[in-house]
Amino acid sequence: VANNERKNQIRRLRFENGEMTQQRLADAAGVTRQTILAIEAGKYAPSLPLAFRIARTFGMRVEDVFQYSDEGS
Amino acid sequence: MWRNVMNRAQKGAWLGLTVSVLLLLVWFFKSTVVGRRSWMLDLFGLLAVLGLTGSLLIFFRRKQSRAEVDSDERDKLISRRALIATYFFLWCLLIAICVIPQFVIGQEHRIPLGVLPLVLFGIMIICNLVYSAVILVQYGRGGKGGE
Repeated sequence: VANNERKNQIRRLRFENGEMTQQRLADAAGVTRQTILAIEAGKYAPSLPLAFRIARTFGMRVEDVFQYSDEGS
Repeated sequence: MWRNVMNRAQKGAWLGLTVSVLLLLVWFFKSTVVGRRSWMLDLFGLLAVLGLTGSLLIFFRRKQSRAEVDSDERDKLISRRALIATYFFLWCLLIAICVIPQFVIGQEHRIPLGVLPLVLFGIMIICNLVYSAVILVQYGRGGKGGE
């Protein structure tokens, strides 16, 4: 059975970008603050367009913000 | 405080849950303890007041910023799952309503015609309750998606 693990750097990137609040990131990405909270906590996997929007907010590539490891496959 | 913690979908679900539970309680007490006189009027009156008050709280809330959105892809996903769950629950409920009375009171018995709209009204309330509860459970668990 594959052991999938998602990670993201949103929390770190927010603080590196002038301690950006979750609300400011949510406004920039066009989602609610609760969704940013869920993504940060790894409880929600964003769609590809949303992942791109979040990455672009930080001026980075998607793979620099979101990581995915698929062990056992 | 709660205004900043929950989004519109969560508030709507809490409202739906509250209204449904209150309506079921009113229904129960009026039909068993207090009596059946004019309870339908009380029920609709309560529904109107609660619905109006709740709508004001939800739709006229103050936004934290101009760009703040009311709902997004996660809210839509959660809402869709809740609809699917409610749909399956509705079918189970309908089957139960059709089958159970036949075993309990038998096929030869009759029920007053006035019971039919009450049953339909009850189904509406219970489905609304299930829909709201499923939404809140998903938000409570973080609304896991894409897995």
